[in-house]
Amino acid sequence: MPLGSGVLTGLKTVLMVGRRKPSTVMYPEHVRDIGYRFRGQVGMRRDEVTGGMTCVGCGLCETACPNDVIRVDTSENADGTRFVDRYLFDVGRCVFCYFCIEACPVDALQRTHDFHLVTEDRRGLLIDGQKMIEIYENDQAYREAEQHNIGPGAAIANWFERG
Amino acid sequence: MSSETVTLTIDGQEVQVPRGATVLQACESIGVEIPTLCTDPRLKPYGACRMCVVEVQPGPPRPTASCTTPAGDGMTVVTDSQSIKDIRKHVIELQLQHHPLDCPYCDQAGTCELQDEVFDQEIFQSPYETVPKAHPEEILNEVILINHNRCILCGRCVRMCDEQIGVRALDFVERAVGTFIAPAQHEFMDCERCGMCIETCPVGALLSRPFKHAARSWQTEKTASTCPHCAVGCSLLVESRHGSVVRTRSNGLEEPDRGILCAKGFFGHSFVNSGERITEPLVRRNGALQPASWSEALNVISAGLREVLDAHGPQAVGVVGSPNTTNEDNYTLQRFARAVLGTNNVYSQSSGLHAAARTLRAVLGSAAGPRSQSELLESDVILVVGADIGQTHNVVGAHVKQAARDDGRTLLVATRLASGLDDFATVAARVRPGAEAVLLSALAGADIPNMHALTGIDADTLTAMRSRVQAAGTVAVVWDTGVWTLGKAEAIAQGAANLALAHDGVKLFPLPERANAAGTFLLGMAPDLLPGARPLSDDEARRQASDAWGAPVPAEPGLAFDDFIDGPMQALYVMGEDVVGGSANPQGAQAALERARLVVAQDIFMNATTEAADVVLPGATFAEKGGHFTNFEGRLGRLAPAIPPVGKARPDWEIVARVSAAMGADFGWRSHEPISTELAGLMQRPSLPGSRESAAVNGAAPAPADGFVLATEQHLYTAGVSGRRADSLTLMLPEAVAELNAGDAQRLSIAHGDRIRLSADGGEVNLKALVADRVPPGVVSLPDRFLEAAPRQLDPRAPDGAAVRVHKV
Repeated sequence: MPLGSGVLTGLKTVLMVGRRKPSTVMYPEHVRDIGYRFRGQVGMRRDEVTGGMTCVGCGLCETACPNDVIRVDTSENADGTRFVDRYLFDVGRCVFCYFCIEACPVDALQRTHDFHLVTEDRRGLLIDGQKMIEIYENDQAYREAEQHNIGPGAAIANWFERG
Repeated sequence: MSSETVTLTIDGQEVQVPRGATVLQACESIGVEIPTLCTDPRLKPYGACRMCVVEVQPGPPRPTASCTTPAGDGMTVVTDSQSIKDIRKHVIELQLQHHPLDCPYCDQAGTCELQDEVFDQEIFQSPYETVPKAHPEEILNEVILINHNRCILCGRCVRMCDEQIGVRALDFVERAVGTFIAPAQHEFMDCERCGMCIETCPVGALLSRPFKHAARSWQTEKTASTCPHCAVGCSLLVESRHGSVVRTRSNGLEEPDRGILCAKGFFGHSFVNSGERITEPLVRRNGALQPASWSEALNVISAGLREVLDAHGPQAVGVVGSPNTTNEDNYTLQRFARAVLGTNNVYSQSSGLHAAARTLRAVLGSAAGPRSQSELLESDVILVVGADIGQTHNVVGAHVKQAARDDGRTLLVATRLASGLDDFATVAARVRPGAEAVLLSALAGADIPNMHALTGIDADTLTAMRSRVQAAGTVAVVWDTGVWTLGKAEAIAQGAANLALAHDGVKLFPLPERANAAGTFLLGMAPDLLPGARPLSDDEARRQASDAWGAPVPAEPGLAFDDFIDGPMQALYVMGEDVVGGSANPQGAQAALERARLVVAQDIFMNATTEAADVVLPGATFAEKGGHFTNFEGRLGRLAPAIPPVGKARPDWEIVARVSAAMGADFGWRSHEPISTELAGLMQRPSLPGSRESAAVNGAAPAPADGFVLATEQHLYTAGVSGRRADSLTLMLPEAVAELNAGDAQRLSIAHGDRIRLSADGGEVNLKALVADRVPPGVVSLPDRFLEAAPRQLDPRAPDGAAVRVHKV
């Protein structure tokens, strides 16, 4: 190899990369699109009839959770059915394994793409069922996009969605 | 040998079992698992579910239910052939045809035997069209509900209620495919609410209403403990979650409960998490009790006690222990009093048992001491006198019924009110309240003139009872020592002792009124006793106690409680007891407490004593501490902490030990175990000869010509201060009631539920009237241990048997 060719190769790389747009974005002012298979915060579906949580309070998610993230407190409703007093989800302990989503017999728990989990106070990481419904509903755009099979890997994504 | 046991072969393995054992028991004895649905070890074999089928040779050429087939010599049993497995799978598939798949929603999920079988038989889908039933859930009573859809008709609830409890409140209704379980007598299930039908139900058909949807069965922490509500001392499984007790269940088949509980054991736990608990120390400032820190409270107590000790000497200080707290708690208090404060003014408010035990010991000697329940149930004749033990000590009552029916014991019942025991009795009679001791003496052979007028029992019945007692080899005399014995506990014990002196086979079973009343006596929680219930005058006992405690025990016995509070009292330390409310003279006791320089009350709920106290300390309930209760047999029942104490509450022994440490005497205990060890070393029982002298008991007054006689017994659903804070129990009996016979009620034109006024010489109470079949004519029953209407308000000294007048308000 002629003398100096290494320098030229290096210079060429620098010039090429220097003309590209930077990979970094100014988060949080600019938020990059994330992959639709991204495993974000667990959300909760809204019950179409009652308008509240779809959760029936069976506690299987609590049992399936390897990390003691979920706590479901239940009591008896006036009509004898099970009433979910409160549904607590400690995001700070969650490892996004989604065992809870698999365990849920009524598909109340759903995957979302939400990754905005930063708070200034760790108490903010303890969210309840209402907050989880909000997270799920704010994720609407992603869910619709996902259904249109954008980008590579759509086949795998569809397989994942079909379960 | 061969007549005692049989030898059979199970799956090629030879096994020896006692003659009479079933094939199922033989299989279980060698660890061969046979799936069952309708089997409960407490119940007799029934053979309803056909899950336990096996092939037996020689035997019928078809699968045989192993639970109902007795094991025979030379049998060959095959439990795991393909055809047997197919049958079992088929049985479950047929059950699933109608069983709803609402496991995520069902309270029984996790402990459901049908669910377990579905997993074991690997059933993933049904070959049949599934037609779940769709009946609504039916509420049977305040605490029990039934979901007919889940029922598999195994009949365990029906048999449990009949065989074990002797109530027969449930039965099968309709026939064939339309069969369902329903209350046997009425639409409303008016039973003893023991909850054992819920306990035995293999699926989620019978459900506990207080526990409904409260937690999933696998999420709860299970702690083996002992029931705090009465002196039977049943073992409990306390299930807790996130620091609160969610339910209690029966735990194991051992003595004394043999696997059953009563309403108080099964449903009476919610007082633990009651919002009315005392959760922090309170100190009186400017006349009002105000929250304080532990260190402030301890400083106030130690300064006050030291001031009283310096100014008035140890005779001015006294401590009151409690039959509601553990042996360890009472022992710590006693050691604090005798060794640190230097006073023998040590009390416990379990007067009924203490009086009975003292009398029996004086007459019969130390041989009278507590005896085991199996001795009771194996006696030829069981004589129940006075209060209905089916109400006061329900589980012993259930066992007595069973012994009378299944084991052929002769049951003689001489109670004041009609009871469930009557149905099982050979002779049942109503004794007039106040005449129980006379009746016992008459049974012993004493010639009582005017017998019928005094006791209400005619000569023929008395002769029938007496001849059965005299003909029997062993006789168990059972009586409750609750509030009804107030003022006559000695007389009743003397009457029973007379019977024991007249007949060698007589064994006496005074049933203490509260969980640890026997423990407080055996621990010597009295001014003249020491641990082991040894007399204080015994020099050897005093020396041993002094050595163990590292301080001399004063030889001078303390004063009687009433003399003490009316006399030298300057400081009183009360643990878990209401000395004002439980006193014969509440106003006097309250005035005495207000006069005193320092009153410390340590309790779980506010009461008249804590209201009058200078310092109130938050104690712990049975579910929050370790220790032991001593039951009526003298058996130790172990408590284990299931949840941490609420708020700033601490175990009672720890509070006393901290007060002692603040006074400069640190016992060095960090858990209850060293206390248990230390007190066990001191619990040598004395060997005392009795006087063995029969004594005439004072005759009862004849029945008043007009008006009523008062009978005061503890009701099944009342359990004192803690029981009245247990929501489920207050649902069963929401307010204080007086019970009247239907004829009397009609005569006074009182209807069920009317307000009435009971008045006697001592005072009067206003309360609701119930027309109850169990009350005989001329008697009005005021159940004890309500908070708002105490029998003592009518007659402070001896309410039971007092003449009362009844008016409609």
